[in-house]
Amino acid sequence: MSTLYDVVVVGAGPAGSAAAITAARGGSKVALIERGIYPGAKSVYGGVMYLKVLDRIVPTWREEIPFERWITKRHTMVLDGSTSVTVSYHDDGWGRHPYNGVTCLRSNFDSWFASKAQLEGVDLITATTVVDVKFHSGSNPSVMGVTLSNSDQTVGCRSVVLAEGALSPLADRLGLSSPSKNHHLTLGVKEVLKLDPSTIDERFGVPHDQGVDIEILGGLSPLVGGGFLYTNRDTVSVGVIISLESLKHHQVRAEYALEQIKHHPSIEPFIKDSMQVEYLAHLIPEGGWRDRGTLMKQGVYVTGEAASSTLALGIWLEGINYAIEMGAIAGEHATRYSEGKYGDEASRQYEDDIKRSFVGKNLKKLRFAPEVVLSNPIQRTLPILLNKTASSIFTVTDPLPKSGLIKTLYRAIKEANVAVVPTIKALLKTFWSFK
Amino acid sequence: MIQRWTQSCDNDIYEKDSIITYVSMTERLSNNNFFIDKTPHIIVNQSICSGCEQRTCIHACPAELFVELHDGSIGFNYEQCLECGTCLILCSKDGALTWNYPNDGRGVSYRYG
Repeated sequence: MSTLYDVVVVGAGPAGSAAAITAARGGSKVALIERGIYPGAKSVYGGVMYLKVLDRIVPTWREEIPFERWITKRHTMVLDGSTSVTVSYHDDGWGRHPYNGVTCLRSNFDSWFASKAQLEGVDLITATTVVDVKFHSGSNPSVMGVTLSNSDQTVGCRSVVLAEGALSPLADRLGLSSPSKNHHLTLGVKEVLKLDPSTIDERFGVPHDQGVDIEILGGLSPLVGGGFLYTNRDTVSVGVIISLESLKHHQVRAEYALEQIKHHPSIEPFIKDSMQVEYLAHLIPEGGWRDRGTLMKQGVYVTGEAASSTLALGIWLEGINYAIEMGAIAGEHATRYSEGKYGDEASRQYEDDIKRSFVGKNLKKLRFAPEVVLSNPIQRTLPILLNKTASSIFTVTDPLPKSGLIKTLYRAIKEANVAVVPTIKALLKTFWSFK
Repeated sequence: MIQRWTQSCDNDIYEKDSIITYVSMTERLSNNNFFIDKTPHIIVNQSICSGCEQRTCIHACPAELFVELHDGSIGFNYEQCLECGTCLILCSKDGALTWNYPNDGRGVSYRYG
């Protein structure tokens, strides 16, 4: 057995680096092991980071992060055929302290965050895959160490934090993942497109350090999911998020849905004449709270995406903030565990602390929303209905007289071929799940 | 290489005969950084795959790395894998795929992310 650490953190993403920082501050000797050649080399995200959560971990983050643009415009765009209805919110104040959302390139952000862990004395080990977790033998075995892909030796440690991301092979192998997690995975595919920074400013109507986030519903038919388009400094990222179930069922490719979105007349003008510089794919656990699985066992803490800590609900798309908070809590607990301060109650205490945090509270409150967002009324009926209604209201019918709102709505419902009662029920259910 | 690409679908909501300009996957992946491993991190078990009729991997892989070869077997190119895990999750045959992350920092290395 080689070097002994108190805590080994698997994965130097937002959750892993946060865990490493809090564990090190708690007095632990920490190794942060990343399989990419640098932190962020394997990371993919879908839009905006909300980093107020960093106030308690890296209070100076606003001056330090390698940001692309501060988000000051948030659009929700509902597509149907060649039309779209957009709800848009612009807040110039989001471009100033204390800010709201920000875009970063993950290769930059994750490397920056891991460097903050290094400043706390954490050993960052890159290009190394953790392949197994070893336990002491005995009646109540706790962690003995981890084995690495490039070494026969076991790296000894007293506690492990698994922040290995959505696919979570180690948590799966240790039986910690929820059996239903794989049923609630979506596939995100994304392109990064190069554009001149001033072109981005002009097309999106923002100054050079401010940006736009567009969340997209509809336009993916027959697939189920959503899309997004957001601005970086000199690139824009456009992507779709597709439910794996629908991918399997329809046998239509995710990248085809991405092309559909890119060529929609409401999207295309934003990205035309750009040069593609990267193509990415990543799974997203959308089950939320109900898919968190076993969060801790025998000194192994599961955190971040591996514990389904994402909130992917159309109007709220968050994940990095949840990963950071959950990772920070996991790091604190792992330290205390490694000091032998916990007995049998360790698992419950970690779960309780997660429940008390905004991560647990939000994910629990919205636990029914993910499946509603992917349901047929929201995915199919709502886009058609909204677009048909908007079209009948705003299309002038001269010389025919105007038909009035009620008749217009009635006609839109009829044209959209919508069953009224189930739709109203579904919309109420949606509203209820977001209450 | 830009090619015209069409896809039809029996779903009635789906617009039939829609034609869009489609970038080939070769071109789409050509700007990614890959540090190719000497050995594949995903291994396809042909004896299991040959009995599979669904072949979801072929349609689902977002990098189009699974192809049906002339003899009916599954061809797989691990070199441009994005390591997303879609094939592993959607594959319905136990043991058909031996799936590991690449070692030593190999595989895809995103510069933007």
